[in-house]
This record gives sequence, C-alpha cells and structure tokens, in this order.
Amino acid sequence: MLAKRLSKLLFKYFSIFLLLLINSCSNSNFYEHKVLIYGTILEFKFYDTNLDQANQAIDQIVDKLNDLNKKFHPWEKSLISEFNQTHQINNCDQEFIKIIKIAKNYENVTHSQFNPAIGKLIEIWGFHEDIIKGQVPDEEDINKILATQPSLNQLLITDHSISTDNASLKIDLGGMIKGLALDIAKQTYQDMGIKNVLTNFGGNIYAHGKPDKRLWEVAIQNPHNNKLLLAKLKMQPGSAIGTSGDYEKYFIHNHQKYSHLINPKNGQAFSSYSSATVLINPNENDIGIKSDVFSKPLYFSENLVETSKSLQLNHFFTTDHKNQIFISKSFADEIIWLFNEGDFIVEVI
Amino acid sequence: MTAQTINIHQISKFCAIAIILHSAEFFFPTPIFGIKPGIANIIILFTYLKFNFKSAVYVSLIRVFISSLIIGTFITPTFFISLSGAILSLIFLFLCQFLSHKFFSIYTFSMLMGLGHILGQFIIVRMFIIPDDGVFILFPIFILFTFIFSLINAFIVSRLISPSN
Amino acid sequence: MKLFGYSMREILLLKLFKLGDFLIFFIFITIIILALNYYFHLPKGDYLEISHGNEIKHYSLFQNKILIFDEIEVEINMGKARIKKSNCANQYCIMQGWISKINHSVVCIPNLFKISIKSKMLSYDSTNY
Repeated sequence: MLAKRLSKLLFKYFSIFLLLLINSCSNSNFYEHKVLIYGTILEFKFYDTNLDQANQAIDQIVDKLNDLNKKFHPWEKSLISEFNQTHQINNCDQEFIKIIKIAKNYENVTHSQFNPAIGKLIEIWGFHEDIIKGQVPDEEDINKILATQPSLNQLLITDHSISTDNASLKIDLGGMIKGLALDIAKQTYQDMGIKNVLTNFGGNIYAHGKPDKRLWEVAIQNPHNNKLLLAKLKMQPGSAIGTSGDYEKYFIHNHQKYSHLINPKNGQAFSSYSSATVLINPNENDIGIKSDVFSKPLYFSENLVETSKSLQLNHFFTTDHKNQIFISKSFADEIIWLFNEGDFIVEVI
Repeated sequence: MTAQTINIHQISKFCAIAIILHSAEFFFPTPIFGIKPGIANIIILFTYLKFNFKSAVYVSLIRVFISSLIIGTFITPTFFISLSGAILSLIFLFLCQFLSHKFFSIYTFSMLMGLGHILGQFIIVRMFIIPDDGVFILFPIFILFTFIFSLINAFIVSRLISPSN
Repeated sequence: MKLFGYSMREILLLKLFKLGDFLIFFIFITIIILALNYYFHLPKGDYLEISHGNEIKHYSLFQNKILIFDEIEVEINMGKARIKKSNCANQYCIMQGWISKINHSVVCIPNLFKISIKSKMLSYDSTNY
C-alpha cells in the first residue's frame, strides 16, 4: 500500500520535472565542420541545412580552393611561382586571368596601398617560408625594388598569358586569397540554394543568411592577447568581416616586431597600428575580397578618415600599439566591446 | 435540503470570500513588486480541510476567473500567471493527500502549495512573458517570501479550524 | 513565554508542528539558503542587453551614457545600469534601481522593455582574427 502510494507520488513529481525540462531543452539545427587547407582553418557553421547538401558544398569549396592553391601559391610549385621565376607564363586559363584582373583592379582602387606585385619585398623579409624565421633586409635592397615601382599595371595580360619587363615584379596574392575563398564559398551557396551558413576562413568571415530569428554573431579577437576577445558584433545577412594584424605571422628582431604585412609605399614591415578591421555591408560585389583587401590600406594608413573615404568604407576600426581604438561612427553604434575596463581607449572618428 | 445543496452553498460562500481576498490583495500596496501574501490560499486550504479536494479545485479556479473579471485583468498576462500558479498549487495539494496525516500537518500543505504557486508562475513567466533565464534571479526572493507567508497562512488556517480561547 | 498563543513547551512537544513538517521546513530553509547564496555571489556583468519590442541591442557597461528610447531613458554608469525615466504608471522599473550582476534585469512590462546584464561568456558563432 505504502509502496503503491510512494510510486504514485514519485510519478507525479517526475511529471512536473519533465514539464520543467521541456522548457529548458532547446533545438540544435546547427552543423559545424572544420577543414584544414594549406595551413589555414576553414570553418563552416550551417543552420537548418540538409546534411548531405552541406557536405557537398564543403567538398566543392575545398576542391576549388585546392585548385586555387595550385595556381597561386607564392613559393611552392604553382603557376604564380613559375611566373615569379620566369616573368612570363603562357598556359593560363580564363579563371586565372580573371583573378589577376581582379587583383589589378583592387590595386588601383586602393591606390596601390594593397599591392599584389610586391612578392619580392615579402620574400626578402623572409616571409616566403613555411616556418617563419625572418630577416631584416638591407635598406638598399628594399629601395632597389621600390625604385622599379612594382605594380600589376606593368603586366601584359592576354587571354592565355601574362608577362612583364620588370624583373623585380613578383606576384603574391596572399593579401586577397582569403577573401577570394569567401567569394567562392558565397557563389557555391548561391548555386546550391543553401540559405544560412557562416564561413570563417582564417579569421575572415562571411555571413550567408542568418540563423532563425537572430543574426550570426561574431567575436573579434583581442590583437594584443589571443586569449581575450576585443568585441562582438551581429552580422547582417550577406556581410563580411576581415582583419589585418601584426599578430598572426611575425618575427621579433632587436625588440622590434616585424609582421608579414609589408607597406608597399616604403617596404617596411611595421605600422603604427596593430590591427585593422573592416566590415563590408551586404549587397556590394566582391564582398569577400573587399573584406580582405580593404583592411590593408587602413592598416598602413596615415589618415584614417581620408583612406576610408576613398574606399567608401563606413564600418572599420584600427587598434594601435598604445591600446587606442579608432572606430568609425556607424561601426561604434553596432559593436559591443568586450575588453576589460582600462585595456583600451575607444575614440570615435 | 440535501447534503449536495449544502455543499454548493458552502462552496459559493467560500468562493465569495476567496474572490474578495484575492481582489483586495491586488489593490493592497506591496513593498516589493510582485510579492503578495496570497491570503486567498487560506480559503483554498480551509475548503480542502472542511470538504474535499474537489471543492478546493472549484473555489480556487472560480476565484481566479471571477476576481480577474472584477480587477479587469481577464486574459492578460497577469491572469495567466495567476491561473498557472493556482493550477500547480492545486496539483501540489493533490499530491499532499498521499502524505501521511500522522506526520504531516497543514503547515506542510501550505508550504508545498506555496511552492507550487511560485513554480507555476515562474514557468509561465519564463515561457511566455519574459523568455529569458534572467527571471530566475528573482527566485530566491520569491521562495523566501513564499516560505514566510505560507507559514503565516497555515497558522491562520489552524486557528480557523480549531479556534482556541 | 508564548508564541502565537502556544507555549514554547507545546511547540517543543510538536503539538503545532508534526515531524514531517520539520522535514519540509528544513528542506525549504536549505533551498532558500542555497538560492540566496547563489544570488549574492553572482559575478559582475560585462555588457548590457536591451530588448525593446522585438529588437535586441547591446551596449558596453564600462561607459557613462544615457540612452534614450521612445518612452524610456536608460542610464549606464561604469559597470551598472538602471532605468532612469519611464512613462509607465507604476514606475516599478525605476524603483528597482541599479543592476550590475550577471543575469540581473529590470523589466518594464507596459512598455515591453527589458534591460539585463550579461557576461563575457556569451555565445558567438565564430571568431574574427
């Protein structure tokens, strides 16, 4: 009798707990996947997408990126490294020419502050190696290269070949390859009809669609401490974000930090800023490439207002070595700072 | 008069008292928002002890509906919070019936009913009104006052049942 | 000495309370102590989440700022926040004063307005670097 009562009682209590549990359980419509492509992590987060379709999209993107790598790797065996040796290649396909033309276009748009033709400068700083040892080159060598004013405008481009007279011209598309990858991913999603996915390629992020009622949310790493976060923001569907900073690939020589970003104007490997982040709004073309390329002019900028105006950028910020953040007005309204009190000083420009 | 009609008369009387107490409580100022002594619960518990569980259900639900009409909160969030509180409180009262009356008195009844009441309210608030875990921050305060008021209510019921001179 | 009309002896002899009541009583006390302990030892938050109708906005807590919405003014003052002005009838939201700890929130039901403190351990989908 008592046992019966007790079991009845327990059953009732249990049903109340179930009632509470139903409320706390939430759905999981996300599918996350990570791929390592030439030493860079490619990260996907699908929302409400058919698993087969998602995997198919990942395979397609990985294939395309591996293909891209075979053509554009700046120091391993590739079409570009062949060009950098001989300054003439004749077996280019249409896609290759198209990408070179895009690079040339963005070199002109940024007034050569993003310059894919300074591969030789990057090489003499010792960044064309898998494990960066780094070396500070002679001023003379730098000036010799700068004197030739390497630029993709010096290229002679036909349907199947590119060639140049400038022996100091070496092409390195490292500054836009991540963005290019994001644009390839975007194209793939559109072709396959995938609606909601967040793509992160080596830190550059493209937000395709949005998960359910909220937006994709992205955290920005603190450029001075990779364990901390600097900020968080919501990505509008179709927007992309990219950061250039001195904390990813660098070497230290005589207490001076030299990063893999080389200023095309003076050939130096340091800047007054420690990072530059840009957010590209939806509905612009080449959204991925812009998110990658436009952070470079800002990183080396001497006047942020002018540089951003010439690039028509509304959403950007830079951090400098004195823990100051310079942020555009419209970006300041959207971003949520996550750094500890006193770590940074924010200045709206 | 049959026993049945007497019962209905009594229930209506208790309903009326419960409605008055519930409505009066609504207009009574409280120092902390949302915290009320729940004096209508006295009548529910009293009805249960005097008659049976079924009558307590009648009194409780009629009280919620009619007093919400009087106050003017019918089919507003307040009404649903109070309804779910009343229902869960009744479920707890139902469960209390299985407890041995040798060891458990109306104090246990009152405390568990109070617990059911705030649980019901919190579930509704969390699910529909403020869908955020932040509402559970209020839980400690609410459970503390539930505890105090349910003890006071139980004491009043004990005096009602057997008035001592 | 009498308590509620009962002598201490009667209380001790369990005339008022039965044995099971003490059990429930102590369970209740334990829950309250645990809950209050949790309540008073919450860490401080890092940013403010404001939901206004269907919109959700975020602001850093470490600034001095007054945010003006349609009917409501929210004040942020170095780590804490409050609703400063509101057009609602009862003004309960203003009476709640400053909040600074994680998950604490102030709600103004008539205006469908909520401010709550959130921590840095927030959810995000990916990291930009």
